[in-house]
Amino acid sequence: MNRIAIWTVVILGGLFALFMLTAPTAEEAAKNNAPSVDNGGIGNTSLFDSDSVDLDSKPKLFIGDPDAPVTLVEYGDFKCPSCNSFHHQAGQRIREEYVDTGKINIEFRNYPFIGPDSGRAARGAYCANSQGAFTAYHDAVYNDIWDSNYVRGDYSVEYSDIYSVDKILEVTGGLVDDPAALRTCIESTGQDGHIDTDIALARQDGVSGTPGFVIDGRPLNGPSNFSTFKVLLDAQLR
Amino acid sequence: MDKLKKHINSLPFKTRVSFVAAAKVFLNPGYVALAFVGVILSASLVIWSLNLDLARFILFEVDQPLGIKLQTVLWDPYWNVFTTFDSIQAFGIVLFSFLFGLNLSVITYVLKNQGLKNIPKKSSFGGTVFAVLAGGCVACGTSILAPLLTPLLGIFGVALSGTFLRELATWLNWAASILIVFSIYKLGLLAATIQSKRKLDNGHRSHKKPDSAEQDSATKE
Repeated sequence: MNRIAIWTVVILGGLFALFMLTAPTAEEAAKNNAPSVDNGGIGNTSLFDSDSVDLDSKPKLFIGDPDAPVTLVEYGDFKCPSCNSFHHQAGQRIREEYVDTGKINIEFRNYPFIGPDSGRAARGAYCANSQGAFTAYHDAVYNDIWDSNYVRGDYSVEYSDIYSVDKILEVTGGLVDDPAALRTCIESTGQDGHIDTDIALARQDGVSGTPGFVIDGRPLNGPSNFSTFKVLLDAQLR
Repeated sequence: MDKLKKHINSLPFKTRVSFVAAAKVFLNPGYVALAFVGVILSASLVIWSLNLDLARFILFEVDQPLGIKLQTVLWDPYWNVFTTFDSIQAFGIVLFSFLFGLNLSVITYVLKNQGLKNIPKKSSFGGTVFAVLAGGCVACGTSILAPLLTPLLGIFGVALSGTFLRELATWLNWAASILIVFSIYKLGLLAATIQSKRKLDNGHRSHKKPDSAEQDSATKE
C-alpha cells in the first residue's frame, strides 16, 4: 500500500508540475478573454489596439503614498462582488500592513464590464480623483453596495442599473469639495479615454477579468487570499 | 422494464454496501493520508487554474523559503477559500476536493487489489474537468469558461452574460461532484467485492488451520 501511495503522490505531483509548466501564460489567456458584457459603451475593448496606450495623459488613481517603492496594480469593477470581497478581506490587510506603513501603494485601474453603471462609477473614480478624493470615493462606493447587498450574499443587484448619477452623488457627494462638478464630470464623457486606456492596459498586463492584479509585472487573475499577495510583495520589497 | 425495476429496487442496498466498503478503505491510515493529499492537490488545481503561471513563479522563482512557498500555493488558498470566494463557489470547491480525495484513495485501493479492470475512468476524469472549468470567478470574467464559451455560443448568436456564466459554473461544480460520487459508488462496489473475497479467503485459511494442525499431529503419531 505504502509503495502505491508514494507512486500515486509522485505521479500526481508530476502531472501538477507538468500542467503548470506547460500552461498558457495569463497574457495569452487575456487576449482571448476581453469583457463581453454591455457596459454602456464605456471601456469598449474592441476599440483598442493594446499597443497604442496613452499613458502620459492618464491620471493615476493611487491608494496610499504615490511615491511608495512598490506598486500593486488592481483592476476592478465597482459592481463586481469578488472585487468587493477582496476590498473587505485581503485588501484590508494589504492596506494595514503595506499601504498604511508606506511600503507600497495600490494603483487602481478601472475594468468596467458588468453594466452601464459600472462605467458611470468608473467615470466617478477619475472625477473624484481630480478633486483629490479618489480613495474616499473608492471606499464609499465599494462599502455602499457591500453593506446593502453583497455582505449577505445577495448578488441580485449586480446586473441592475443601480448606480445612477444621483445615487453616486448620494453616496460620494459629501466626500468632495464640489459635488456639482462631480455630477457634471460623471455626466460627461471626458474621462472615458482614461477608462479605455485602463482596459487596454489590462490586456497588456495579461489581466483577464476582475479582480485582477499586477505584482512586480506579473498578473494575478481573480480573487486571492492575503498570503499570496504577502509572499509576492515581500519578495519584491527585499 | 423488469430489469430496470430490479435495478432500482437493489439500488439502496448496493449504495449502502458500496459506501460501507469505501469507508472501510479508510481504516488504513495510509489511505487517509492519500485522500488528504488528493484534497489539497485538487483544490489547488481548481483555485490556481487561472494563475498557473504565477503559481509556478511562486514555487520556482520567488526568493522565499520553500515552506512558505508551499504554504502559499497549496495550503493557504484552501483554508481561506470561504473568505476568498463567495460561499456557493467556496462550498463547491471544498465539496469537490473532498470527494476527489476520497475517490483517489478508493481508486488506489482498487488498483492495488484488482488492477485497472473496471475502474470508472470516465466519471473520475469528467468530474475533474468540470470542476476545473467551473473554477475562478466566472461572473467577473476571470474564468476559463468565458473564453471557451464565447466563440462557441457566438456561432449560434448567443451572447454571454455574467449571470449565465455564474449559474453555469455552479452547475458544473455540482455536476463535477455528482460524477465523483458516482465514481466512488462504482469503486465502492469493487472494493466490496475485494473485501468479501478477502474475508472468504481468511475464513478458508482459519478453517484450514486446525485441519493442518490435525494432519501434523497425525503425521507425528
